[in-house]
Amino acid sequence: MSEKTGETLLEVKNLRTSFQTDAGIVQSVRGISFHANRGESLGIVGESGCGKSVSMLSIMRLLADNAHLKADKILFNGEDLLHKTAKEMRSIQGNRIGMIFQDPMTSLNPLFTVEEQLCNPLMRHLKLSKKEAKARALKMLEDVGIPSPEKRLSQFPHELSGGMRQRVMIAIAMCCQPELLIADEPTTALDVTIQAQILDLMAHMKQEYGTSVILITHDLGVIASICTRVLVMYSGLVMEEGSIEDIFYRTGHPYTAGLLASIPKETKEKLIPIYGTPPDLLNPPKGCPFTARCPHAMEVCRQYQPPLVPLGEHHSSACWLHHKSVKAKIGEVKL
Amino acid sequence: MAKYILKRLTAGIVSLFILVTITFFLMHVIPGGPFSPSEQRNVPEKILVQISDKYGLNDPLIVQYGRYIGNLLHGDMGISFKKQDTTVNELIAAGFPVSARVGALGVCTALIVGIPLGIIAAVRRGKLADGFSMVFATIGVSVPSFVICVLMMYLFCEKWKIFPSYGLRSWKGYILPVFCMAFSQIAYITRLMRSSMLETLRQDYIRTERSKGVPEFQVIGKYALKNSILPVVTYVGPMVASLLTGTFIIEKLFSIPGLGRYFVSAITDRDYSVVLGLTVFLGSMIIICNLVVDIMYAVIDPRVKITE
Amino acid sequence: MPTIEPNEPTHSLSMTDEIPEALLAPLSDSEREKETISRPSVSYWKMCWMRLKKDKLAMLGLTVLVIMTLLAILVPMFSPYTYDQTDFAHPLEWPSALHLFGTDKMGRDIFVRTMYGARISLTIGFTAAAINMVIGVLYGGIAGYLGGMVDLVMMRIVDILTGIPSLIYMILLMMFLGNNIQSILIAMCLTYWITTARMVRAQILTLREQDFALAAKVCGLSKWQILIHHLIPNSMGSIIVTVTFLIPSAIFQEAFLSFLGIGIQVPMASWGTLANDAIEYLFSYPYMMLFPASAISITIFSLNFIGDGLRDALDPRLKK
Repeated sequence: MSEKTGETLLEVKNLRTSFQTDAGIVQSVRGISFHANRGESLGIVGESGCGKSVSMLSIMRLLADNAHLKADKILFNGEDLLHKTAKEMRSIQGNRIGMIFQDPMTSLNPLFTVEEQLCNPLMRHLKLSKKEAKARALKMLEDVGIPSPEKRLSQFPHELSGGMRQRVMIAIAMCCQPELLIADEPTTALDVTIQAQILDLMAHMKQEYGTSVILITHDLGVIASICTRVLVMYSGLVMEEGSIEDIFYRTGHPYTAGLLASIPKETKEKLIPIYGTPPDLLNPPKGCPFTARCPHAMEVCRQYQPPLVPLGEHHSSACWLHHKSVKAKIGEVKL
Repeated sequence: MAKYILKRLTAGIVSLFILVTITFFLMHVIPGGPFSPSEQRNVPEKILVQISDKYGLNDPLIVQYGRYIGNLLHGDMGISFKKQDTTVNELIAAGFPVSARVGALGVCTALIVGIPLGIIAAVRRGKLADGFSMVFATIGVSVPSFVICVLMMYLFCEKWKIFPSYGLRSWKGYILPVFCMAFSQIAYITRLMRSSMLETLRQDYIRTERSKGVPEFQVIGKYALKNSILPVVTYVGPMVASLLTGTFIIEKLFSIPGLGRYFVSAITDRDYSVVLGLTVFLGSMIIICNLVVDIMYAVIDPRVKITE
Repeated sequence: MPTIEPNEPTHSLSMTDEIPEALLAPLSDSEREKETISRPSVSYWKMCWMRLKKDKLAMLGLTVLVIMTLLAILVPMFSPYTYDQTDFAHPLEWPSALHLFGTDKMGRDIFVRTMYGARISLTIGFTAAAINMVIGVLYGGIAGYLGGMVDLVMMRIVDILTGIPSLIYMILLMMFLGNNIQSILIAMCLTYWITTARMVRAQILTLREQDFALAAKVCGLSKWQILIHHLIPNSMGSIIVTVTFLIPSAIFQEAFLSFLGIGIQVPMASWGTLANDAIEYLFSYPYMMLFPASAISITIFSLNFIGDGLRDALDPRLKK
C-alpha cells in the first residue's frame, strides 16, 4: 500500500452529530471537516466532551439511536459512507476500518472466549474456515505480543490483565488488515508503563500492516509520540489543524496554547491550567466557544465564530487573533 | 463440581430440617387439632380421644416430633389424618404428576413467549412493538391471577363454551389453566428480559461487536442474549419450583386434581402430616431449583466460580 | 427519528471583512464570566421530579392513585349506606342509580364496599411496603457494611428464608394470629423484605468501596454515621424503586389471601373478600366480580406505571 502513501484515505466535510436527550438537544459535533491520508497518523486532541469520540463513532455508524447525524460528505477511499446501508457498512466495520476503544476492561464480552471474539470477524470478512481463522488468530495474538497465545485463545477476558486485553482489542481491530485504524483513547485506562508498550505496539502494527491511524486522545504527549498531523477540537468544533511541529512550535490558537501549557515538562516551570469549563452543548454560544476561558477574548469573539484560516501549508486555526484588523490594532500575539 | 453439589445439598438438608421443625411446632401452636371437638361436632368426645390416641396425638409434643423426624428420615411422611388410609407419600405421588404436567407446560409457555417478547421490546425500544409488549406486560403483572382465571372461565367456558371449565380429560382442558398460569409469568419475564437486554445493549462490548461488523441479528441473538439472560435464569428457578408443585388458585378454580389444592385445606383441616409433607416437598423443590439455577449461572458466566 | 437541526456556527463575519473598532475591545473577566454555563444547577431530586412530570403514564398512574385514595376516604364517609349494612329486601340487584355497583347476596351496597375495600387494600399495601423497606434497608445495610462473618450468617438466614414455601407459612401464621389486618401485615413481614435486603446489601457492598466512603472515613466519621449519612442515601434511588414495586405485590397478596377466605373476613371488605364473595355468582351476576376485580387491576396498573416512571426518573441511564 506504500505506493499510495499520501493520498487521501478519509475525507469528512461538515460533520454534525447531535443527541436527543431528556434535557434537550445536545450538539456534540457542530460541523467539523478534516481528512486523513494513507499511511499517516492523525491525532485528534481535546478535553472530554469536545466531540472527538462522537465524530469517530459517527463515521463508523456506531452511535446510539437517539443520535442524529448530518454531513456534507464522508468519503472513505472515494466511497461515500454517508449513504451506505447498515448492511453495506458492516463489510467496512472491522474489515477495512478497525476500531479500538478506551476501556479494555469493558470492551470485551465477558462471556465469550478470546477465540470466539477474535475469529468472528476473520470468518465473516475474510471468509476463513474455522481452522484457518484459528491459525490466523494465533498469529495475530503473537503479533500483538501476547505470550503463549494457544492458552490465551481459550481464555475469557476476566482472566487477562488490562494491558493484555488491550492487546487483544488491537488484535481484533487489526486482524483483517484494515486500511484505517481508529483508536479512541487506547491508553487512557492503562498504567503508564503499559501505555508506552501499547503505543509502541500500535506504531509497530502501523508499520507492519501499512495501516493509517486516527488516534484520539486528550494527552498531547501521546500525540507527540506517534502522530504526524494533529487536529485540536473544542466544543464540537475544530480549533486548529496542523503538523506536529506546527502545533507544538507555531501554535496558532489560544486553546492549543493552553493545552500545551498544562502538560508537565522536564523543566520545572509552573503548570498553567486552563481555568473554567467548556460550554454547555445543549445551548452552545453563538461566538467562539473558547471565549469564556480565553485570555485574549474580545467583543468579536463573543459574537462571531471565527472560520478556520490557513497559517501555513497544512496549518490552519480558527481564531480572530489572525484577522488583519486585530493584527493592525494589537499586533501579532505570541501564543 | 460434585463436591460443590454435595455441599449445597447438605446445606439444603439443614435448611429443610430447620423448616420442618418450625412448621411442626408452629402448627401445633395453632388452636384446634384434626380431631378436636370443635371440628367434629357429631362425634362423641370419647371416640375422638381414641382416634387421637391412635395417631399418637396425645403424646407429648417432643415425642411426636421425634417420631415424625425418625419416620421422615426413612422417607415416610405419615398418614393423612383426614383422608383415611392414604399416606402422604401416596398423596404427593398422585398429585404431583398432575400439577407438574400443567406446571411444566406453563413454564415452557412463559419462557417461549416471554423471552422473545422482551427482546423485541428492547430492540424496538420506543417503537410500536415495544409499546404493545409493555402495555401487555404491565397488564400481566397488574391483574391478579384469580381475576384472569375468572375472566377466562367466564368468557371461554360460560359465554362461548369453547373449553371445559374443569378437569384435564382432553388437551382442551389444559389450555385455560396453562394460559392463566403462564399469563403473569410471561409478563414478568418480558419486563425482566427487556430491562436486562437494554442494559446489556448499552455495554461497551456490544459496541465492540458492532465495530467488528457483526450483523445486528447475531449481536442480539448471540452476544447480547447470553449476557442478558442471567437475571431471567435467576427468576425462573423459584418460579419453576412453585409452578411445578401446583398453583392453588388455578387447581381450585379449574378442579385439577393436583397438589396445589391441598395447600389451604390441609392447614384449615389441621391435617398435620399433610402440611408437613407439603412443606418438605415444596422446600426441597425450591432448594433443588435454586441449586440448578446456580449451576446454570456458572455454566453461562465463566466469571462465577462455583468450586469456591 | 426526529429531525434535529443543530444551529450551525455563524460565519457571518469572514476573514476578509474589516472588524469594527467596537468589537476589538478586550473582554473583562466579568464579561467573560457571563459566557460560562448558563444552565441553572438543579438538585438531584428536583431533576428527578422534572423527569417524572414528563412521563405521561406515570402521571396518569399518580392521578388515578390519588383519585382512588380520595374515593376510599370520602365515599364511606358520605354514602347513605355503610359497608356492612344489609338490606334483605334488595339482594343481588344489578347496578342502578340507587346502588351504583349493585348489591350483594345480603343486599349490601357494592360501591361502598369496594371503596371501603380500597381503604383496607391501600392501607395494607403502603404499610407493608413501609415496614418491609425499613427491615430490608437495615438488614441489607448492616450485612453489607459490616461484612465478614456477620454478613455470612445474615445471608445464610436469608437463604433459608427463601427456601420457605411462603404461601404455607402465611396461612399458618394467619391461623395462629387470627384473621385481621395486623396478622396479614405480620405474615407479609416474613419474607417480603428479602428482595430489598439483597438489593441494599449489593449496593452497599459496591458503595463502601468507593472513594467518597473512604473520604468520610478519613474525616473521622464512625461506621454507623457513614452507613446512615452516606451509603444509604446514595442507594435511596434503588430502594425507592424496589419499594414502589412492593406496594402492588402487598396488595396482591392481601387480595389473594382474602380470596382464599383466610384474609379479611366478611362483613369487613377488601377487594379479595369481595372477589371471593362474587365467585359463586360469577355466571349469574358477573357485575359482582367486575367491580372489585377492576379496582384491584386499575390500582396495581397505576402503581406499576408510577414504579416504572420513578425508576426511569431516578436513574435516567436505564431509560436512554
